Amino acid sequence: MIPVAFKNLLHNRARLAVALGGVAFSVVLTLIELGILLGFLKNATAVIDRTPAELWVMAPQTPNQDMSHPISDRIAGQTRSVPGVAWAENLIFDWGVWKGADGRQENVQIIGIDLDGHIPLPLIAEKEDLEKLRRPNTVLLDTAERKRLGVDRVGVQAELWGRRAEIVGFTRGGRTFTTAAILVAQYDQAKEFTFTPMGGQTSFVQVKVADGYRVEDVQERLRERLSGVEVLTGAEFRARTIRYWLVTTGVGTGFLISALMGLLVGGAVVAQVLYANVVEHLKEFGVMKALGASPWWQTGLLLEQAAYVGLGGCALGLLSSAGLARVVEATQTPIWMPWPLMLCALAVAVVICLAASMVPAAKLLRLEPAAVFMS
Amino acid sequence: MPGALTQPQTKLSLHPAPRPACETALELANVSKTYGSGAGAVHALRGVDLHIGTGSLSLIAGPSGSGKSTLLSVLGCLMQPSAGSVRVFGEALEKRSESHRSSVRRVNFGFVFQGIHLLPALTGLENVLLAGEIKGLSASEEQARSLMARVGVAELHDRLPKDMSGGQRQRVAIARALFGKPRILLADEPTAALDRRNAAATLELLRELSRSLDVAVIVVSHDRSLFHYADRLLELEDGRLKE
Ligand SMILES: Nc1ncnc2c1ncn2[C@@H]1O[C@H](COP(=O)(O)OP(=O)(O)OP(=O)(O)O)[C@@H](O)[C@H]1O
Ligand SMILES: [Mg+2]
Repeated sequence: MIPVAFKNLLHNRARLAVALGGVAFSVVLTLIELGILLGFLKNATAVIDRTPAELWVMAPQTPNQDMSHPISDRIAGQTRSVPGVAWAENLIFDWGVWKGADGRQENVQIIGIDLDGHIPLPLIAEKEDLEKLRRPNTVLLDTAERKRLGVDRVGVQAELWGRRAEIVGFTRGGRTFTTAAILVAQYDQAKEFTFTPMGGQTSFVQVKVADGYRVEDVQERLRERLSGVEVLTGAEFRARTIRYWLVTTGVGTGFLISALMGLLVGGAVVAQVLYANVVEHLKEFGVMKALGASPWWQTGLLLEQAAYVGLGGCALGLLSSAGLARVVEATQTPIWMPWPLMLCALAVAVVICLAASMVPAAKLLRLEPAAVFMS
Repeated sequence: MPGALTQPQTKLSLHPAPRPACETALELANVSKTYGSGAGAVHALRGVDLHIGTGSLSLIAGPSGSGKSTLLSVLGCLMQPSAGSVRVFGEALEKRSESHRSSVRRVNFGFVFQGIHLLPALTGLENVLLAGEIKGLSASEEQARSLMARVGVAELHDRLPKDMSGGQRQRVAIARALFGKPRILLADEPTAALDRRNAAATLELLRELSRSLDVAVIVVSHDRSLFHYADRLLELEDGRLKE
């Protein structure tokens, strides 16, 4: 077997470079686009993903994790009396306004938890820092947004909706879809920091189902027992949150369209390059046809070339994407490129390249073998 | 021009020692080819009758537009005639499928073209071998090498077409056409891109191959200085054949 496809590609290096670059560019565009979307979505459900609680109690029609409405904090107590509930705890997840000593104002997200409870924070905090929160008027700030709030060290003071607040430590890895700065405070303290003071209220109640009980049964019982609230499983709440950001806001459509554009660009470049190759060597292809090359043989040749371009370009694209993802991460933009996404990109890129090769293939199949004589 | 054409014509050949055809390779009976229809129709071939045997070189001559390439395409089963019949080694092909014609082509024909058209990315040897691969033969490198030696370009195995002279390229193309031992070799103006010396040498080679390999070689050319290499001269004028 003569590696005709391979040699054909290598013969015109400039064109090969354009093709590989086109595919790589398109893969990078698509991956970064989808990676950022996934990154945002992962952040959007960070709180839901992190907790061991199976059920969430919230105000009716709560659209997502970041946009809660207050409900009565007596609900946690009512919940605990329902059979099958192992524990039920309050979680404040609401908004506040940060006013720094330098006068800068920023909207911030405030997480309030019971320091002795079960609810895990959707970020990384040192135990000793959490202990400091037991002092009044204290908060932890996530490092990601330190610069934005102009906080360079522990001990900085600020105002949260008229209340004095002191930064007593920093957390890491805190992210939400909104990318607002995250402050962590003790449950009761957080209620005073929020935009609308939440005395007697909470954002969510998280419910852990006891061993031996079915989640659906407990959910049903809670729905019967509690009034004026909605009870969702973690999966339901996650789905609702994702649907909100993707569909309701149109953010997802925008991302998907740009990702699609990336793929189309790559496909067009490959089609163009293979087509140019065929047109340039139409006579040679005609000769092959005259020699008796079957349509399969010729189509196979083009498919093989396309596959090489697809795989090569994709390899380049994956490497560049991995590098670029680091850069993106450094700008605090969430990005998440799990390997299934990479695999999908590879598969889609190769399929698109193969599909693109059908454009020149159609031209070849129509080529009259007699055409080589008619010159 | 009915009948009488089974023997190779010799009176126009300046070259002595014509040989009788070993076998009838191609028979055309009353073949016409019309391009287009209505007022714009072009009658490229009109009622052509022709028998061509193996072991000799036939040369098709005629003014531009007289139908030479069309005749060659019909002879090579690259094109279906509008009317009339084409037989290849006795087998009538007009009612057969395109894929059958394609396989007849693979087995029986070799083609050489004016533009030569070697694949630029492949070496001389690979270009010859490719013909075998396309024909589905177990492409033996030995056979390809001996063919290249046979046409006098043994030293060009590893060279790319861009590094060969026009004459060398055409010889590689002839080796390619001969791969798989076809019994019919068709060449449309194989010397058009060559200088006088290379043109003469190429015709010389083709005639020699026709004899030694018992192949029917059919060459289109309007170069009068080459006519004397032909065992038989066929002249086309306005789609009609005269000998
Ligand atoms: N595909 C086509 N469609 C319409 N007319 C055609 C086509 N191919 C050839 N012709 C016409 O048929 C006639 C014969 O063409 P052909 O190419 O066989 O001539 P030729 O003898 O090979 O000429 P040349 O010496 O210039 O190569 C010409 O008038 C040409 O214009
Ligand atoms: Mg012609």
